Amino acid sequence: MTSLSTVEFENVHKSYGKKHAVDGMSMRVEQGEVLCLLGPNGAGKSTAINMMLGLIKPDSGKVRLFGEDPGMSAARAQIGVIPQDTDFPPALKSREIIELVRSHYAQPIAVDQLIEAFLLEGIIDRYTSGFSGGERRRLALALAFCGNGKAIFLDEPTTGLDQKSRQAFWEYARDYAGNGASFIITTHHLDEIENIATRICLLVDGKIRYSGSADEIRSKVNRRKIRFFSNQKPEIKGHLVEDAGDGRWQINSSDSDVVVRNIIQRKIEFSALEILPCTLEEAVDTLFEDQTSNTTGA
Amino acid sequence: MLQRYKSHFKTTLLSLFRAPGYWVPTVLFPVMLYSMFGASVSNAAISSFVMASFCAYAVIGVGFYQFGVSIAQDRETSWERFQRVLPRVFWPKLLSRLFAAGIFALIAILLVVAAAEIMAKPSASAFAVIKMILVALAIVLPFSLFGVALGYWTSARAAVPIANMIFLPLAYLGGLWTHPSKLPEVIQKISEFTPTRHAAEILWAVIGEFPVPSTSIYWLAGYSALFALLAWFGYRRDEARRYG
Repeated sequence: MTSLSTVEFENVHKSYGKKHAVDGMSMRVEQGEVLCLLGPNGAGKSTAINMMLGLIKPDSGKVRLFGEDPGMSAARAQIGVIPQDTDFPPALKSREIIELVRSHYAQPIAVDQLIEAFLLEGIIDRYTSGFSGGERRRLALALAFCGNGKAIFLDEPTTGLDQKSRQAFWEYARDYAGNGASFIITTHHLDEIENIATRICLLVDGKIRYSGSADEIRSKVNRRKIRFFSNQKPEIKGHLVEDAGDGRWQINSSDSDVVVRNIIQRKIEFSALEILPCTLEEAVDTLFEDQTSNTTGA
Repeated sequence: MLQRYKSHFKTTLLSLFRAPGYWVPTVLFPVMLYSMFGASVSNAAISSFVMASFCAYAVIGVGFYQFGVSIAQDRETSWERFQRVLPRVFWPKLLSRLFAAGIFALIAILLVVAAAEIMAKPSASAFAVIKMILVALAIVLPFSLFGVALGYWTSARAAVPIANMIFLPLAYLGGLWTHPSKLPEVIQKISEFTPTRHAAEILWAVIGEFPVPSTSIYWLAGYSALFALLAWFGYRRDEARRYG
């Protein structure tokens, strides 16, 4: 049995005037994958996602959603999308909005279940006009999931959420993904997706520059943090020493052995030396720097 | 799936009824105009026709504004944009809007009829009045299509002023406020080509219980086709501009 990819891009191009928003992108998102799209503003993330959703037609190339043209109802019946900007109809209550969206799907999630998952108890029977940013976001998330879709599209899902709602949301999302659903996520909070994303794609100038798991990205970058306490700022040739506060210093390096040897040879007084792997965010930043310098150099 | 239609009808009506600042003036305006300018006719036979004219004015206004203005304003919101990714959303949304326009039109007509019965005591039979109300409701359709077309060809800010610029002259030209025979001669000539005139001709025939002129039906059918076409092209143009 062959199973259809959730999303299929084949040499997709889309320009606005002279700007190539998406420039020959090819990729697949398989069922059960949690894909995170990263990139600076204008890298083509929104354009790519809008094409996956059938809101924009590509200039050339092929886009498929569950094997169908993304504009087709059969494809759209299988997805859930988080509303952007979230200006809901002011004269409707949360429950009425959720029920309106649910009514479009064959096997929607029960409203009570959504209330529990997205902490909606206090806002379910209220008009949305007085909602805080976090309350709007929780309702928006409930709308993305309420259709029980096989693929969920989340653009900056946790913006405006407090710590508790954030945790509750990712917990729910992990369970949901565990049941075989795919996610396509864009976010700036890399620490949050580290444990859920199965693949991360870096977009620069409308092209996928790198694609891999969080671990692959970290090992590709191979950068470590060396931290220690010292009474005065140490000088280490060829390395930038950052002040980490409270008499602590930090050096980022792709060769931590050389740095440590250097510290000892120079007889620098130190204590509590640590060598730490870089975070995903730091690894991604490094990759982006390399990519941009490559493109400007070329 | 009936559920989708039910949900859209429900939320569309709730949204409108919960905004009394919108719907109260919409349904009260025709009866107010009627009370000021139409109710003073003393001849019972003529007052039936005047009542029908203001009913035409009421349905045309509701269809035109409820659709034209609201579509133009809504399509620029992000909520509208979100709804585009829902499966099979086009028809439930459109039909629920039409349904809402029908309900508001019905309320507006009933108010005009009630005011007429109290103040002018028109001679038309109850049967003729009921028939006239039903035919008037059918007339919502062509003017709703006109409204949709206008909604897609104008911006949210321009929709209201443009709708006024079209609707008020059309009501005057169509003889909804003054009988066409009392209009200046040039205006009488123009009147024969307006959709409002033909809508009024149909309602006058129904209330007066004489045969509906088939030319008016053809004219209105022709206008309906034209408005539907304009609405369709406006919709396509908007899609291409926004999402092309």
